[in-house]
Amino acid sequence: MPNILLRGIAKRFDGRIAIDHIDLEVKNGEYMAILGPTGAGKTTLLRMIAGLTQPDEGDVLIGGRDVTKLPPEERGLTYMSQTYSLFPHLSMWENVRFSPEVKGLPPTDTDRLAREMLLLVNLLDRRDAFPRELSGGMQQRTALARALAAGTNVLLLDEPLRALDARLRIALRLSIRKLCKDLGITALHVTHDQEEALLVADRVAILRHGKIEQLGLSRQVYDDPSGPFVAQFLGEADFFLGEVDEVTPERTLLHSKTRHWEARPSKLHPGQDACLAVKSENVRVLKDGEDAINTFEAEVTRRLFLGKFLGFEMTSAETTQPVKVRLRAEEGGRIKEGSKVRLAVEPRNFMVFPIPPGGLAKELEVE
Amino acid sequence: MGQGGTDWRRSLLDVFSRRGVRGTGYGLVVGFFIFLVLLPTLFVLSYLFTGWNDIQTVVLADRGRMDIIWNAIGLSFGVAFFVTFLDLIFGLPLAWFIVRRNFRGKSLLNTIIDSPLAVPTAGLGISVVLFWGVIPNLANRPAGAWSLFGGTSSPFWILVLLHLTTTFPYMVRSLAAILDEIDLEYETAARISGASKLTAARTITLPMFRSGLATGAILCLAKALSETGGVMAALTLISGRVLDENSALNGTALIGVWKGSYDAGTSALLPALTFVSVLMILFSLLLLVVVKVLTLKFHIPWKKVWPSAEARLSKGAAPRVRDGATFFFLAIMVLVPSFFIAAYMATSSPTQGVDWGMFTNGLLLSFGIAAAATAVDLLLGIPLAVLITRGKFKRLGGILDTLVNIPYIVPSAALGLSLGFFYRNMGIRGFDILLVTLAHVAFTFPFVVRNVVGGMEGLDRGYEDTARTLGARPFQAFRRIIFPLIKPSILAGAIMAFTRSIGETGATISVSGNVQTAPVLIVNYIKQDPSTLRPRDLYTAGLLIAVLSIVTFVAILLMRFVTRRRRKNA
Repeated sequence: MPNILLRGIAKRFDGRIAIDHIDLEVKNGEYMAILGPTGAGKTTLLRMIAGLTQPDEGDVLIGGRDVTKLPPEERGLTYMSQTYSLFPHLSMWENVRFSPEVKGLPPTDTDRLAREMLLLVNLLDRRDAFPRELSGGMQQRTALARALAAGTNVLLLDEPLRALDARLRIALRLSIRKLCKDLGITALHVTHDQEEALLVADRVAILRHGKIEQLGLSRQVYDDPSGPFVAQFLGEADFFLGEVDEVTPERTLLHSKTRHWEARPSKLHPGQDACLAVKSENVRVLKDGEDAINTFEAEVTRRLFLGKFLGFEMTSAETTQPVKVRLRAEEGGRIKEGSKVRLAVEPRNFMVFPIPPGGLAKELEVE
Repeated sequence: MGQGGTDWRRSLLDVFSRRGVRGTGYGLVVGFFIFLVLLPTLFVLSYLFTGWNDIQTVVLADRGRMDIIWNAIGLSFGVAFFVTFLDLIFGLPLAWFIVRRNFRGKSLLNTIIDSPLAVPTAGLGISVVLFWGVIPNLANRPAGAWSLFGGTSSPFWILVLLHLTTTFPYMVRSLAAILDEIDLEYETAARISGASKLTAARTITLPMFRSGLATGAILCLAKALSETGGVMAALTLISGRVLDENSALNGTALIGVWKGSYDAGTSALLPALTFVSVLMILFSLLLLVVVKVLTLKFHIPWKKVWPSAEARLSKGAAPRVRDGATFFFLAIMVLVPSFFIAAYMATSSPTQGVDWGMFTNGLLLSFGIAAAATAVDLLLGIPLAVLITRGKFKRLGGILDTLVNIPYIVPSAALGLSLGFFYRNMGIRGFDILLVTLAHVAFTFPFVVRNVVGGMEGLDRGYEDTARTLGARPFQAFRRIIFPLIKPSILAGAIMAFTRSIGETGATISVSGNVQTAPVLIVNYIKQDPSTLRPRDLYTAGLLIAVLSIVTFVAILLMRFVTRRRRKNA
């Protein structure tokens, strides 16, 4: 039985659509991430599941039970907000005890739960501290302990790592996942950070304009995006335009005014306008005299040092957009700004999509 | 482990958490607000319809009486506007100084600015006249400003001087509060872009706190229009005789005087008395709307910039002259006149044969009524504030939020009169102390609701949301999370309501002539003795003022302490 089930859920704010009839199923014990740009409706979706915002249409089911009309405290789930909302007038100990206490658990059970949960997040020795006395990371862990002490098996996490600095974020993201998995909790984790989503989740749902663009395993949404937006939103992609000539089980053949392209197989039909996308780390720089399929020339306009990688921006006759290329530092070392290079894309790395209804440029806008 | 008790409590909690029960509770609170506060306050307006014939024949047709009414109302509004204007001119630099400068003794300066609020307004009336005014037939006066120019006996000027002491702290408070919230970054950005201090302040910060100006102006206007006890004390002292309708009076004093004659048996005054109350209420409400609209629509018109002139005014002597003038104003126009009665007490001797029973009763009555009114305010005001800020129907909340302010705007003498008529009309007679307490509930209610609404609005919704998802029922979330976090706001509201009730004269006397609270006694003590033509007992009045002031001052200190702790926690 799915632990969270949304059926046709929709919400408008002042006539503007925030969530547009979403169906979503989170399986028992699954860790799902909801990933999307700012304003996509992520928090609204989470708040509707928690019962903090009432949907205009649709149903919310938790563990098979319709909770759409129930107040938050009767839904059998726990919600952790971006800012943690640790109660400032209560000590860490009292914060963690809050949920079992208001639910009427006997004091001995309450104490035992609070102790276990604080121990789980390694904060038992700071139990008498007040929230303002602790660092951001400790506050985050206390909020997690408090949420776990609620004893529900559904946990909603709204940008749980947003307020932390980068290093701590990386350290904590896997520990949240591990805690949930160990305790058999179904988790829905909202984030705008693609790396965090891909790393932490079993499945990722990409939300945009109140709709789910794609739902799938981390690998799937990265390697096999459902459309240009997802292709670009996860990682970095280059786009080209073409018209389909032929679709075979092995590849799609296309042409533009100046040349031919070979790409992955697709469901497009001959004569259809299409856009081609390639992740920028899959663009190869050819050595002198090397030959390949899908080659084209480009001139380097910018060279960016990214640590382990070098990022390049190039101009090419094949596209109006700058071509972004990402190379390992040792590969790209000889390429300077102003160099002319030959690039190639392997057909299996070339994705083909129909041209989106509003045009490619509009589709790729993030805000 | 006391399972029985816990079960019992939980089932009670279940009952209270049911939507129907909560809805009924809120319904009751709104009902109480409407029937205990709003309707009694505005009841007198109904006389416009039920008694219109009497008003036409007895009041409108009577030239002399209409002159009295228009003169009184003219004096009320003239004084209120002029005082508010002066408050703005001198309050703005003072608020600026307090918020933007860091200096030692800042909190002491804040306390000093607030200190006139501790003196009951009847006491301020006496004190201001002792410092500035002419007091016929009074021997042994300490030398004050009057000794330089012989003192003023002009009702307009004496009321202006009086209301500077009653309103200036309100203006500085509200301006400073808003200024404190405006991010200094905007002004810094303007200065980095090359604007002088004055230009930056004038063109960037000032336009941002129009709402602060509106709040300050409304508070000052309402306070000046509403004040009765201080006005009656001041006008009595400078007139040198018992006040009657032929004395120079403002609106509230006229209500007080006519109510006195009406209670003494001149029932023919009823139409005139209600008519002047109706006019004061209507004009005050109108003024509230006009000021609100004006300050929100009105743009400070000087977009033009004079870089060199303004740069010169920002440096050197000009700011020092401005600060000097501001502090001179604060000292001479506000502080010294507020406490000048202390000089009188020091230079004269105690009265013999004082009725100490009456004295003590007056004090006990004042504290008792203030305590009871504050308790009712809290009981009704907190749930109402919750409904306003967290209710499902946003529009209802907005409407209630506006309605709650009405008793604050309505002059308390008119409010008291209205309330007295309301309950007598319902057949309630002879419970004068109860009626006076209800009147005090009405005009102190806004203080509690305003503060609690402010506290709730400032509180992060995330706390409640989180508490609810952690399994707390609405009532548990309130008691365990919201209540502890907004306790400072609740206390601040309670203390304001309590101190306001302690100092109130107008509402008390216009509800009933028989309830002699301490401020009513003060006004009575200084009435002219017909045989000597001197104030009856200024010294004992001074004693009462001292006791009330000290208690109120302690309350204000408590409030500062509590609100400061709130900031530290945030």
